[in-house]
Formats: sequence, structure tokens, C-alpha cells
Amino acid sequence: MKNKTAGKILFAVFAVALCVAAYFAADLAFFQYDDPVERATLSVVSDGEPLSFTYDNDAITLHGGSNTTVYALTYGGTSVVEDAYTENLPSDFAGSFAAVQTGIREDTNGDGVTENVTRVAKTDMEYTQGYDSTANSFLSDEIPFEVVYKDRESFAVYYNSQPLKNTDITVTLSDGAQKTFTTDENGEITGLNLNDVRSGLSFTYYPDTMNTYSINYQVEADTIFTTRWLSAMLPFGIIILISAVCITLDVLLRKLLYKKEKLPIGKTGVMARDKRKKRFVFGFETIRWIVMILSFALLIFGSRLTGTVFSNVQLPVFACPYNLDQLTSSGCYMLSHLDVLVSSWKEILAFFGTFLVCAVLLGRVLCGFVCPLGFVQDVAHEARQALHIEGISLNERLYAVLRMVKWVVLIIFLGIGFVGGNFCDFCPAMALSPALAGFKLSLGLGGFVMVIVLVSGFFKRRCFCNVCPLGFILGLTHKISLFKLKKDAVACTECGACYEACPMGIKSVFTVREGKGDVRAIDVTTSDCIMCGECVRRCPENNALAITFCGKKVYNADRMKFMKQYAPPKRKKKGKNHE
Amino acid sequence: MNDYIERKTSAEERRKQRFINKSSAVSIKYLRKIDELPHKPKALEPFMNILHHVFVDMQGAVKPENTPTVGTYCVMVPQELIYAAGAMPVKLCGGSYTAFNIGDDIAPRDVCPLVKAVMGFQSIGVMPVYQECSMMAIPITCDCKKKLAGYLGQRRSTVALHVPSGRDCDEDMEQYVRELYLFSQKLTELTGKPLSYERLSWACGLTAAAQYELSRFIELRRKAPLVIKGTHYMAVMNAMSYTHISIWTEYMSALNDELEQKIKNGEMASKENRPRILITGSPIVFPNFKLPLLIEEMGGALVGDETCMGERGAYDPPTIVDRSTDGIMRALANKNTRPCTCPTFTDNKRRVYRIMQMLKDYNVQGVIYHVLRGCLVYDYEYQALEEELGKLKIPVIRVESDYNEEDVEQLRIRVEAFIELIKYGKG
Repeated sequence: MKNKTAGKILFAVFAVALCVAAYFAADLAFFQYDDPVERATLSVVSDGEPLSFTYDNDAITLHGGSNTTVYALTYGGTSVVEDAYTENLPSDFAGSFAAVQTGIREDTNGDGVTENVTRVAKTDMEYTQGYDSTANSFLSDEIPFEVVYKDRESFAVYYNSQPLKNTDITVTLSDGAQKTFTTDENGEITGLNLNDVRSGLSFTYYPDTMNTYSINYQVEADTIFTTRWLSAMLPFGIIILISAVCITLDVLLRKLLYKKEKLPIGKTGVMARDKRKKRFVFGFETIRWIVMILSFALLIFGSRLTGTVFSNVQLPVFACPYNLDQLTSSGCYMLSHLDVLVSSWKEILAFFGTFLVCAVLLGRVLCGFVCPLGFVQDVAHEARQALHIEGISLNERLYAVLRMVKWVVLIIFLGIGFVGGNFCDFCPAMALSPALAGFKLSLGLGGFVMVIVLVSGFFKRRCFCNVCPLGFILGLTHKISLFKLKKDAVACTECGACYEACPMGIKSVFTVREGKGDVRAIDVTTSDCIMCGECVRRCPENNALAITFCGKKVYNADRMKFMKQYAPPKRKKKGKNHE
Repeated sequence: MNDYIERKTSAEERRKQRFINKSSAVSIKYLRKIDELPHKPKALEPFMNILHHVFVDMQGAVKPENTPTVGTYCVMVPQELIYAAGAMPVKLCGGSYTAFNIGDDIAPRDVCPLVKAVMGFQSIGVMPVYQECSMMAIPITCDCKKKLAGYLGQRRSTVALHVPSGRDCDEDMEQYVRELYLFSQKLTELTGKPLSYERLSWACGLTAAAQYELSRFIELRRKAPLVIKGTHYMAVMNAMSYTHISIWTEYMSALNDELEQKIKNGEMASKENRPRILITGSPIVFPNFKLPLLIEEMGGALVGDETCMGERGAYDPPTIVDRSTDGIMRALANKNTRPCTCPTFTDNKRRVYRIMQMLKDYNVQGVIYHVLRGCLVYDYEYQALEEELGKLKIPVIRVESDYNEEDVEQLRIRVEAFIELIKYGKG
């Protein structure tokens, strides 16, 4: 009894500490990049090239910069950059430059009339391309023609700070190809390939035969596999290193402890080798890995690979929205920032629409198949399997503790926005996907949390998934979800293999003997089930467990399939001899 | 030869010789009966030879040279652990009538004949299979086994494995894992080979290969329940107890190949119209084969068995989820207790389900519930099973027997009546 009270108090202290740490997550820095304003330098060169910005690491260069005024966007408004030096960048610089060049008379469209040409160049630095629809825009009188890159999806075109509606705009890509787009009701252009935007493009507008306005737009975009990318990977590298050190220490410590206790546990060499060749059996597991790798790639490099972004799809997985290259938006941001949710109805609809569709159609299948954070944990688990290091097997009591932790994290996840914190600073996913895509992000407490996720995921499969707030919310709809886990209680021998295999510690799969309906098809889906199919894979009884989609069996337990991995290698030859 | 025996002076020696003569005579008789059953597959011969080797020739277990043997009782002792230690397990649950008679004098009246037989073997000390064991491993399951552990503990090096009585709690599981670690420590003391991942994994591969063949066999039988006589199959499973698993696997593989061929050619061991019968309850240990033999002699087809010397003995494969030493130990503890249908566990709904599943798999028409006299736990579960089977309209009889041949005629009448009931009762 006393022990229980002590445990409760201990847990309460832990919960409060976690909440406080989450609140101050931004201050508990794991890795800090230099402030983007400080690292940026701007130089202007007159090299005869058309007016445009280019990036070389942190140095920004304005080409063709004769007779130009350079403006910088500040939080106070537009301010003029006097001389092109770092020191002269305004202190509240918001990350966007514009340069305006006027007084050029040229015949640009080849109709024999010389026009007044106004050339503008604009650039947005990487860290400003945030996750909101109101992108950086000057909208000042000094810049007569401007485009605003919104949401990685559309360009809003402004002429004298007013949206240009239903007008033809000529877009020249970096390779010289020209396309004509018509702006819509809101003065927006959609349908440009992301990779074209990345390499820079210019927009030209002819209001009348006497005037021409053109703007060259360039975003700061990293190229993967450069030194720049490596430096973006630095914090993630540090996380992996720390995790490796933690794991090694843990293994050594355990060896020491076991030595004192005389049980032969842990006496195995850490790097035990399994010489027995196991047969590769293609199955559900293989498909799951393929899907996981694909979705991992798409959620990290997706828009780079495909050139588009589906910002209306807000996939509720922990794929960080700070990574602007992912194929879809992330529902996690919306859920953890419910206080800003009411910003735009379109977004709310997109969010709830996707969420409902995902929850009903897939449910926690997303956790098992799509979530990049889950993938990383699975990789850590496989690493342990390859090294044959002993893990931590949880029992009911420890799972109960994890469940309590899950509630605490859920409260932090949903509520931190309302009290002025930011879940993203606490979120481990922030260390993963932006870094891999090459976005430099300073990490708060999330970096440490990621270390915990990796280390715990190494010793206990998908440990974080047990406390994941997003997964819990997704799992709430398991009753109406189309994917179900069905058990045939009669065929089941209750060997407990499914419980042993389940990364989420769902015991009811093993213990349920009687259900509402047929004992041969009891629905054992719970809100924790991530449909990873491990239980079915480890089930040695024909038809005892099955994953169903709309009532149809997708994956079925099969004894022969289970035993096949142990089949003697010579069997085929033998069979031939017999014939 | 006779001169030689006469020259023996000691009464003890004569008693031993008498035991050997008598017991091998019974074994020969039953081996012959099994042999004489029609439609015997050719690949059954090696299994018969093993039984002959152990019970008639009075040799030790069939194994590679210099492998120490560990005597095990019940199915809760993980064989993998023993193979991993470089030893070989032998299942010593006795079925000998001769040994039973000796044990009858030592043990109380109501002790089950199986334990009496084991005690008899121990007291006479002539069976090499028993004598060569370097260690005995006895899971504490029923009361008789508990006392047997005490009896053997005074005479042999014995390890008692405390099997939890419930299985749904994680604590029970963890306790048994610990028990297995202690057991493996004892094994290491015996053979000098420490527990390691490599050896465990190798041993699991060894037994899994056997289980692969067994699964193949079960699959074949599901397709065609009548392809082999149940009695022959029980002999195969009994032979497993005294054979090194890799040898048994080879024989089994050959048997499977032959059966596969037979199914292709449509050669069945029994006629289609024979009542298909499942046997369940107390273990049927060679040479106590009177019940399966009676079923086949009386025109029934024994299509399945749910006894621990039969299919159940090696049915459950270890499910290695975590590829580490501890992971394998957990898997072994899991597979040796959780799916076990032994009635010594407090909750046993799974046994009823298991039998229901077998009824479906083998298309069974009747169930014979075998109870050894004094085997209380199996007797206890009869009622529940009868109720469940009643709902499915499957006839079931409870058959109590002892380790002697006095009740054969009585059994014959009951079994015959039961088979007639299935055959004609429905019309």
C-alpha cells in the first residue's frame, strides 16, 4: 500500500516536471544554429546579369545590381538597406529582400515599341518559409510589382499592393522556357512545379504597351548531399551519436549487474552471430517495410521528388511541418496548435476532412505504415535484433505506467498552445525529418526527447508509439475503422506469441476468449493497435488471427507459412531426387 | 543362455531378469500388433525399430555418441534448452505394465499408473533409457508428479520446475522464465556448456525443423484424415521421446514424403465409411497401446489425438520474437506453458477450444476420453467437455483404464458399442 502511494507521488512529480520542461522546451536548447539574421550577408555586384538573388551558403548575392534600391522586410515594415553589409541589416529583419530597378527603357516583348521597364528581384530566406498561408510580403509603395510564395503551392501576384485578378502573367523558368498563367479571383497562380520554383523564376506583367514589370523570385533552397545538407544533418548526427553511447553504456552496465547476480542472463556476447541461415519469406511484413520506406522518403523528400505538394492533405502523422519538402502537410501541427486553428476555414476543413478520412479509412494503420518516427524506431529495433542484444520486455505493470505517461503527453500535446508554449520545441519529430531534408533547425528539448525515443525504441520496440498522443487520437475511432483485427478463439491455442510480439503490449489479443458474436471472428481491435501485423506473423495457428479490411481477410495466420522459415534448405533437391 | 541364468544366485538378479523378460514380452506383443495393422507405411519402419531398440533390445536412447541424456516428464520442459546445453532430452513418462506392477507395491493405491510405472522403473533399475540419464527434470504439475519429484530427488540428480498454475498473468510467465534460467544453470553444471544465444538459436532451429515436419504431417492429415492409422501415428510420436530430434526429423521427413505420394495416388489407410474418432485425455504411452489398437480393431478410424505423448508433445513451436538470449528464453517459457492444454492449470477453456478445432480439422465423429485410473485432473475436465460436445452433438465416452490387460475385454465392449453408435445411431 505504501509502495503504491510512493509510486503515485513519484509519477505526479514526473508528470509535473515533464509539463514544465515542455513549457520551457524552447529554452532548453539541444542544438542552436546561429540566428539566421546574423549569419546572412548581402553583397551587391554589378555583373551585367539580370537582376536576381543567389545563395552561396549564408552569403546572399544580388546580381546586376546597378541603379537599384535594396529593401529588407522587417517586422516594422519595409526598410531600405543602405549599404550591402551585414551590419546594416535591420535588427528586426524578417528574412526577405527585394531589389527594385527602375528607369530602364527597352523593348522586351519585341513589338517595336520601347517600354518603361521596372525590374524587381525578391528572395525569401529558408527560415521564413514557415507553415502558414501568410507568407512574407512587402506590399509597400516602393515595390510596385510583387509575388508572394504562399504555402509552397501558389503565388499571389500584387500590383501596387493590390492583387492582380484574372490577368495574364508570363512566367520565365530558369532554363528560359516561358509559360503564361492567368491569375484567379484572388490574384493567385497555381500549378507551378516546386522544383522550378526552387531553381528561380521570373514573372512578367504587361499592364499596357508602354510599361513592363518583371520580378525575379528566388527561395533559399538547399541542395541535398552538399556540405550545407551535412551541416543541417549535424544535430541529428549528434542525436544518433548520443543514443549509441547511451545504448553501449546500458549494455555494459547490464553486463556488470548480471555478473553480480549469478543467473546466466546476459552472458551472451553482445555481438552474437546467428550462423543458421533463415529463410526469407515474403509476406505482409515485407510489404509493410516497403510501404514504410516509401512513405518515409515521400514524407521527407516528397515534393522534391514529385515537384508538387498536397497542402490540402493534412496527414495526421509525426512528419514535421518544418520540413517544407514533404509531400503533404502534417496534421500534428494543427492538433498541437489548436489555439491558432481558427485562422482560416479552408485549413480547418482540410484538417478535419483529412483527419476523418484517415481515421475511418486507415486509423492507426498510419502509425504502423506511414509515420516516419515509427519507421526510425523500427530501424532501431531491427538494429538490436541484428546485434542480438537483450531488450526490455515490458509486463502489464510497466505498460500501465506508459499509459499514464501517454495521458500526460496528450495533455501537453493538446493544451500547451493555450498556455503559450509550443509543442514543436518538445516534439522529437522535429529533429528527424527537416534535418534529413536539409533544413537547418535549432532544436529545443525535442533533441533530447529524440535521444530518448531512439534509445527506448532500441530496447523496447516502438516505445514512443505507446505514449504517442497523435496515435492515441487516431486510435479513438478504431470501432468504426475499416481495418480490423479478428481472432478465431477456437483455433487459437493461446500460446501468447501475439502478446509477446505486439509492440504496443495489447494483451486482449491473447486473452479474449469470448466475444459479442461468433467466437470464430471476435473483433480484437483496440485503440492501441497499429496494424503492424506482428501478431499475425507470429501466430502459428491457421486462421487464428487475421487482419481484415471491410470484412475481407487481408492477412491471415498460417502455420505452414510460419514454419516455412525453419524448413530444411535441402528439401527442394530431395523432392527432385524423388521424382 | 538358460545355463547362464540358472547360475545367477542372487534373488535380486533373478528378479531383474524376470522383469526384462516380461517387459520385453509385452513390448514385443504390442509392437507386433501395431505392425500387423494393415496399410502400414514403409517409412514407419525406423520408428518401430526405435521402439524395439529401447523396449525389447533394452538399449539406451537413439542418439549420437557421448551425448548425456536428461530425463524429462510432461511437456513443460523445454527440449531446446537441453539440446542447447549439448545434452539430449528423453521423455520418461512410463507405460510399462511390468514396471507398473513393481511401482504398485511402492506407491499408494490411488496414484496414477503412469507415475507408478516410473517409480517401478526407478526401483528395479534395469531400463537403460532410465538408468543412463544424468539428470531428471520434473515439472511440478499434478500431485503425483510432485511426489514423484520428491521420490526421484532422493535417488537421482533431479530438477523440479515449478510450473505456474495460471497463465494469463505476466508474473506467472516471468516466474517460469526464471525457473528456466535456473534449470539451464543446472544443465550447464552437467555439460559444461554455458547458455548462449548461438547455442539456443541452434537448438531452436533443430526442434523447429522437427516441428516443420510435424506441421507438414498435420497439414497432410487435415487434407486426408485417413491417410495413416492413428495407432501408427502414436507410435511415431512415442518414438520421438527416445530419439535425438535430428534423427527423428529425417525419419519424419521420409514418412511425410511417402504419405504425400499416397494422397496423390488416393491410397488411404482406412475406408471412408469408418467412424472417425478422436482420442483425448491422459497420455497413451508405449506399450500401453490397448485403447488406440482397440479403436482400430473395432472398425473405427483414429484420426487425431489430443494427448501429451501424442501430437501435443511437440505441437507448439517456439515463437522467437526477440532475437536475443532472453527473448528465446521467454519464447520457450511461453510455448511450454501458455498453449499447453494440461488440466493441471486452473483455467483451461483453451482445451475445449482446442478439441473443438480438432473436431473440425479432422472431421471427427466421436470422442473417446481416456482417463488413467487416479488421474484426477483429466477426470475433472470431462464434465465441461461433455457439455460443450453435447452442444455440437458429438458423442463422447469416458474410458477409464489401468496399466494391465485385465480390462481389455471390458474396454473392447465399450469401444465397440461406441463405434456402433456412431455408425448406425444416426440413421
